[in-house]
Amino acid sequence: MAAVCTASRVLAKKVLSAKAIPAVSQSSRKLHFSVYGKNNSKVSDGMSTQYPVVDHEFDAVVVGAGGAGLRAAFGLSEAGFNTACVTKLFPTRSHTVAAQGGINAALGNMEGDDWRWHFYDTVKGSDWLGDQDAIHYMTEQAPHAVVELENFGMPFSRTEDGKIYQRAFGGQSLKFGKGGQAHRCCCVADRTGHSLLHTLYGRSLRYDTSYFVEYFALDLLMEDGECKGVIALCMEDGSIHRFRSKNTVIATGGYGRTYFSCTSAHTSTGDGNAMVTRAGLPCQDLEFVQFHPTGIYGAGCLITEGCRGEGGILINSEGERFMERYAPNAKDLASRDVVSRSITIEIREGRGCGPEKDHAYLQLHHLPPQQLATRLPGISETAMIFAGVDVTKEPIPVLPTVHYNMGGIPTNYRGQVITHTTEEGDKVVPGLFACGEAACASVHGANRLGANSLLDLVVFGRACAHTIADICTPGEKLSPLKPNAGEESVANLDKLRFADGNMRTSEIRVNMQKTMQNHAAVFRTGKVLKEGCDKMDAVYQTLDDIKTFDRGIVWNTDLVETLELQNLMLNAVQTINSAEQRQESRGAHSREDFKDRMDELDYAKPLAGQVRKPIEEHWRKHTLSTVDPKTGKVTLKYRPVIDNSLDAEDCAAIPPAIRSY
Amino acid sequence: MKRISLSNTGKVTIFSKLTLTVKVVFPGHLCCCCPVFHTMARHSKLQKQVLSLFRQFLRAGQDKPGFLPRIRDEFRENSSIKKTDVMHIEYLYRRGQRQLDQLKDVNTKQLGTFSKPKAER
Repeated sequence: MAAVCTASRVLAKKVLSAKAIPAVSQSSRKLHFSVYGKNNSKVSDGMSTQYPVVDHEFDAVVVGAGGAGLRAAFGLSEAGFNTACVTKLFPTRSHTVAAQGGINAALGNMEGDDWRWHFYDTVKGSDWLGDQDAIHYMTEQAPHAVVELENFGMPFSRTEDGKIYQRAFGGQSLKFGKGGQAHRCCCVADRTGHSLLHTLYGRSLRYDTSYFVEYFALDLLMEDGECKGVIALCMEDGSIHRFRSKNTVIATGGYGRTYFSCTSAHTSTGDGNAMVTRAGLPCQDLEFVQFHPTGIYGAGCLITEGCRGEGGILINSEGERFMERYAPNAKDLASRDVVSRSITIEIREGRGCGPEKDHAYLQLHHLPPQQLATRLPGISETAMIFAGVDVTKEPIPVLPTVHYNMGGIPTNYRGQVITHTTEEGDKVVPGLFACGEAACASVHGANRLGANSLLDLVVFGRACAHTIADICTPGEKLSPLKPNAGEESVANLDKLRFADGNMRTSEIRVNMQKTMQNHAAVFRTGKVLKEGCDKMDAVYQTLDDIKTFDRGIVWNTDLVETLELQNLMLNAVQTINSAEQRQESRGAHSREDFKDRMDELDYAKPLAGQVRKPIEEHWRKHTLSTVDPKTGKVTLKYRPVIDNSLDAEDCAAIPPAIRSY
Repeated sequence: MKRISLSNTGKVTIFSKLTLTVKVVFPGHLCCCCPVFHTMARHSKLQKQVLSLFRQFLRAGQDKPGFLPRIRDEFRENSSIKKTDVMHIEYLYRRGQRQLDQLKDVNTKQLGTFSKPKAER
């Protein structure tokens, strides 16, 4: 006790230690790692910035607690794994809560249905860029997944006989496209995502997952090409935490905030994609950004496709239901990219609504008010608050808005992250998994059908948990990790915390968002994209000149926003560079200078007698992009699409064809 | 108002608030205005809670490397907070309880530190 008093008196007087700090031969950025308390005699308080690092060991770590993250986390806990869930938001605040539409599943409650028709619709919706084995897995598991959710207590809307109510949704058809509109989207009024997330959260409390809420994941701990855990910053007290584990699941969501106008929350910053990029691994198909046709003009809030499913129609300034011209069969329920392009063309040709003729109208007042009140209560209120419109009397002003990212971390159908080389093909990265919007399995290909995303979350969240349960056993000993693992992340954190340049975080962010909005929108041209790539590169370089104001470490939101900006920038440069290189129009990526799809065979003409093009000469392939974080230079490679389903007899693969609705 | 207490060795020490050491001092002082021997003011409820938290921390951090010096440093640093600043103390106390739960968790293994010499920046 006396010794402690002495020590405290010594420290109180801040006496510099007699021993000099040993000459630092490493670069000035290097941090020195030691177990706290030892070696303290060499370094005293007055001379160093110290970042305490708590080490944790788990069997599995899930980053992100949205729909996919929660499903993976409690799936793993159910299988007996010691699981940690690291999330920067409280689970019920993740962006899944904002999803409105529903979950597709071929339950057959409204009319006869078959999951193979759902499979066909998804493959066609993806413009034949989706991997058919993953799509087979998802559509076959769909009824089982929805029934499981219902058993968890999710309060689905019901039909008269008590079965789950299924509504019509974009791109869904019967009998492989020949049987008319299918009703297979299971929904909870118009707040399906909210119910889904709260149901999953409630269920997850039954299991003993350890939640680390408001911990911002900084980077993956990679060693020898294997993922050994995650390093995160605790926002509450500023301590660093290293979560060591044999299995890491990334479920961090999309990156809508790279654009100026989007339906995403402010927290959709693509953290998982950026972590994977900094680890030297590729991201897949980032140029495919979905523009949802009906985001409120001005505010950007989402009006669900379910409105059109319940009978709502899109009209132009002449009062015409213009979708009949662009998609004669499906009309307003065509695939989202088709509808977004149609609205944009109408506006360009001068038939836009409003004083500046720059948006379209979504009309709902022809529907019975009672139906609007039961099936679409949420958007009635949203329209009133954000557009000042009473949906029973006036139409809602809408504009295509960035909504979803089809691309992300490349995985196989089991949820394992893969890299690709031409010699060896697809290779699994040991210890790393991904699911949800952050992953690219790829079920959505070049365009996502509505209500497939919530399905994607639960199916692949569960798939990751199953795959980990197959490969590993709980309680396995962890492989050794270097003691200073995660040093670069902490060095970066330290650099940003004391950054003293000239540009604020908000200025750089707005520059990036405006560049993306102006140069990589619904319709893209080569010249405009090239200009955008150069501008984006310039904005990336200004990151070195950033200035932050809060020097503290406790609840430093300035620092966290700057880290998020770094993540957004990595996503943005990959998106715009991949878009510039892809010289065709496919799904959500439409080029004015290359209006057609370029496949290995020309599917518009009869196939007999055509020569199959080699992969270098056509575009039915996945883009794999990597970035050098120091320079911002993007390198692109390509990977073939998987064209065979999991079981050719049970469900035949769909050969490519012309995509029209 | 300074309180002067007599230690069991007879030395006069200034009693400080939130001291680390739970020294047992002979509770009593001579009041100058009356011949009664008053008992010293005891620790307030909040002080007792903080001391109890500290003891729990020390017990929990025994077997895990690196925690004890950090626990001592934190409490030492925060001992300079005024006794009247109850909001701040309660905030730190609640945060400390959450940190203690994490420390007690079987998955928390050790505490290290990344340190950067100030001169280099």
